[in-house]
Amino acid sequence: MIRSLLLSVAFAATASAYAQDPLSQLAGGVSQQWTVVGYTPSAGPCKAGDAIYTFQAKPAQVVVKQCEGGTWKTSTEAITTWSAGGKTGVTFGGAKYEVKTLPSSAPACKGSANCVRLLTMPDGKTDATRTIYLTH
Amino acid sequence: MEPEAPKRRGWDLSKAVAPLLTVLGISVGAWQFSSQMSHESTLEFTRSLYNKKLQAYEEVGKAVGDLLAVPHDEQLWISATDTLAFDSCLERFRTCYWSVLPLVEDSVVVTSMITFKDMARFYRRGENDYHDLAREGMSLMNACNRSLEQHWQKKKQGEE
Repeated sequence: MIRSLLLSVAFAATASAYAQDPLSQLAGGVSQQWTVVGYTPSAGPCKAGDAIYTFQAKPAQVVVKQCEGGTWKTSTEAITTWSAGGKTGVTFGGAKYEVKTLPSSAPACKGSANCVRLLTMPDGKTDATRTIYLTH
Repeated sequence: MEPEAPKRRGWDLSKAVAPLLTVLGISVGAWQFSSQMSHESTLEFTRSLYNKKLQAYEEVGKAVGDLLAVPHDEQLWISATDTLAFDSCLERFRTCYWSVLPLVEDSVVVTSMITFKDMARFYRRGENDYHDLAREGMSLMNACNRSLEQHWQKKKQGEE
């Protein structure tokens, strides 16, 4: 009985040690830049939907560059991490996102090797959830 | 002649009190009857609401079960041969989602339905595997179960 309990605890501890913190996954240790899948830098004005996210581990924040009306708008948001019911994610800009690494074979990744999906969690006010596919 | 006066006063008093007591008795009876009727109708309403909820959740459960049963061997990723059947089941779940969702007051069930709908979409796109879909399906059905339990507890409290 005690042996199986210890075994379960050991398994749980190992699993939690291997489970990556979503912020360090996005920040890649210190700081990492992600772009939305399908974004290609160009000299002219940016396109609607273009976005660049730079995640930083310390201080925990994200610099969001979003294209609005052909020009870039930059904002900096503080990040917190969360985990509940076997899911983990980050919260920034007033939205709670679940972070999931996707295989490059996923159609939404369009062949990008490093691909993550940020999915807003239902807030109980609206039935719509928002999905952001990022790559670097 | 003088001792007759108090007798008449006593008689007058009982004559005045008797109708008052009758009126009071009738009023209390009527109030008890109407409050009992109101309690009964509240219980009847709660009972019918419970049945409606049960029916709605049964529909949700059937739609979830159909979706989860599409991959016959419960393979990890959706296969090309299952996509047509999966789309058809997903359509049925979405119909159920839009018909049931506005009626459901339980926020946990609503959240679980949204999460399962998203997960079905992601499974269909090959972003999440069967285990994720099955897990969300189970948590949706658990949420429905808890919602019914809570409703039943409230109903029992109302009957006591």
